[in-house]
Amino acid sequence: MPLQIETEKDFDLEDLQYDFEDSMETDRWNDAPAEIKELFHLLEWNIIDGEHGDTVGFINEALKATVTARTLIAGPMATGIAEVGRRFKMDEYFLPEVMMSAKCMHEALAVLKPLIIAEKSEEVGTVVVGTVQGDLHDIGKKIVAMMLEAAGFTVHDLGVTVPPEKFIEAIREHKPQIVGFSALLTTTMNMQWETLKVITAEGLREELKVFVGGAPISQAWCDKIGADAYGADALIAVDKAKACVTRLSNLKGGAPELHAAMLDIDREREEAKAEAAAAAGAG
Amino acid sequence: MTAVIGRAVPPQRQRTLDALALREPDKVPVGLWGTVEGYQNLRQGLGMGFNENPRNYRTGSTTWTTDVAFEFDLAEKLDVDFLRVSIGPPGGSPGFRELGLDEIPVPIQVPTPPDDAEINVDEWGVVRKWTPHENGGYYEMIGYPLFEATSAPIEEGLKILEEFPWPDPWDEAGWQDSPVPGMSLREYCKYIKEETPFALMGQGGRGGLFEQAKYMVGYAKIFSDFIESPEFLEAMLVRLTDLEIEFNKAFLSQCGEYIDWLRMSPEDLASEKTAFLSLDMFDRQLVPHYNRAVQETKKYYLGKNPEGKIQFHSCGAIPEQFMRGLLSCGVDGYDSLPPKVARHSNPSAKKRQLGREMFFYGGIDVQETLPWGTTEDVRKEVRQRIWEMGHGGGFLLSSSHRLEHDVPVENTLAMIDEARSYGTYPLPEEPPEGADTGEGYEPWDPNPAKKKKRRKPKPTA
Repeated sequence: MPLQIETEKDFDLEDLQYDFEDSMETDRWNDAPAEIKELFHLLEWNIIDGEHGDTVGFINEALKATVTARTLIAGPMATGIAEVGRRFKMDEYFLPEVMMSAKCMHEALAVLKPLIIAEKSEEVGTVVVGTVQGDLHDIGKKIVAMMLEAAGFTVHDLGVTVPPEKFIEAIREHKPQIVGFSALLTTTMNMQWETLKVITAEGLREELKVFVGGAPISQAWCDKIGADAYGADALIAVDKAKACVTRLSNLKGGAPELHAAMLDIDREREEAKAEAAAAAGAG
Repeated sequence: MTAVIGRAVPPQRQRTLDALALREPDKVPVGLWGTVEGYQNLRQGLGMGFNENPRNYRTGSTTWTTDVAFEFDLAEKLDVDFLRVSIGPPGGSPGFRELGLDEIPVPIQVPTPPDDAEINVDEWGVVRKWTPHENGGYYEMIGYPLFEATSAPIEEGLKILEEFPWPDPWDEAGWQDSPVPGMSLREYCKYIKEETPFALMGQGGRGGLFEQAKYMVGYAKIFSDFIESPEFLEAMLVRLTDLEIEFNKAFLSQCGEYIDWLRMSPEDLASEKTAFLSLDMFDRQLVPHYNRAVQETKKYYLGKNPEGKIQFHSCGAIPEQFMRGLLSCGVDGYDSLPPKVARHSNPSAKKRQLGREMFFYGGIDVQETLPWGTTEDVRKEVRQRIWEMGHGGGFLLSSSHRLEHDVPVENTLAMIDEARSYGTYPLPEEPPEGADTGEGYEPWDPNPAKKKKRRKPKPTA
């Protein structure tokens, strides 16, 4: 029986600003046995510090202790790489540091990917994802794809610089409920719109829930181009995807009710965050 | 052709020299920089004859780019002040050898190209694929000659560097031709100096240090090499620095006394947001090499032309602290001043930070204004930039990168015309609409809170 550890709890990056020992004192993963909690913090800091030679060692230790691949990805790996992203944004990290952390992620994901596929409990749905034409960025989309797989989806990752006609072909072949477009550049984000137009022109729009994500992407962009959901990060993208194939599965792609329901999920998360902050403040 | 009488310095060259020496000239000097397609487009728009096959132009700067020297007739017609010329690839443009798909000597980092793909390899062993677009095309890098060497055991890596077939900077084929058919590069530069009114910038390097290192190992590896393979990186940079110095000396041996300033091989060090590397890595791992490259080149150049200046190129937002590192190496000026980068390092910030110490070249936006703006947008930006950069001299106006095929001719003409009228000294004291006066500016912070760090346990075996 695999260990059950709560991972999708909101966390505050403030917890990761100092060092391993400080972050150990926070209440993240308090529901895990002490040695697992420590291991999670070590893995998180391994990614922040980019020490990729040790990453697989931590991963294997965790797996031996019956932690699931899904928990590792959604837990310490997600928080570690989020902190790397914060440091990059704040000019504390530059490309060399980010590339080292990316290596940790790639090495860990190589071990975890086959397990994710094996771990899948039930088939919840099918997703086609790809980085739009002209854009070569991979890591963010790969993380979302793996998190979706971890959540039980069958994911067809079309790779990078995917032309609209390749999306169409894959949609016809795999019949997904959801299609996701990634773009990391302001110069390529427009291809999300172009691809969506082709999907509509091909008469496929209503059968599909369209997700968009990537650094320059925002809810406003999602609204402007008429996509159904914006995933600010991998966790919320998975939440929204799950809702799309369960309680919202009868809604058609492009329906205003679907769009509103997606925004409700963001709102719920914001509220939970505010509550947690208030509780922390009161405590 | 304007005759140059006696020894008087023509006004075009004089105003350029004044700007380089941080003196206020009579007018802000203006020059052009472009790709072959941009140049063809310009000539066509001006009703001037041009060669329709881009491959028929002598390109330079580095072997792979499509920089082209602007010809005298166009320079005269447009009333510019300075020209640029570079050493050519040996064997003439375009400076590479075509390869069959089965001849590619290194592992390729992209999906296998189709059978009819046009693949070539340059004098450094970098493999590229011709990637067409609606108005021309570009060479996309797909294979890197030292991709594997950088992660090999260090002794092996050093041996590969030792045995690598580096280009020969003293290959005479590099200066046997020039932008004017039948003239050697030396004859061409001498002609410009003695028979035309234009100032001349030259470039001898065909690679670079950090820049060429990126092409040798690939973008995916070069950044982590700063942390993981510092010894290999150091040895490679020593070799690339040796070559940059020799490229410059070889070029200067032919043309040194005729060129007014020298541009080092371009080095991209920053994104639009900030530097690629931390200041600490830059200072420790790159500056010593830049210092040697600039110092050795400058020593040789000043022997040929005591007034010669050295210009350094990077795109992106290079913060002041990095620029100071370059200044300490002996750099005199900087191009190409992209205006839409982070405000801590935009043109106005650079002038306020460094304007008394170095000259600036470039500045008119090629990302939006020149290709997509109206002529009035262009004029407005020219006024802003001249007001921000021109006071006290030290500003040479040009596009912030190469003019490409999508720049309308009327925008190029508007740029030059506005520079001529607004850029006449003394410049107005009052800022024109939209100029960055520095109000509310925040400098880049090189010292984000240093994190205390403790030893962490290793995974158990």
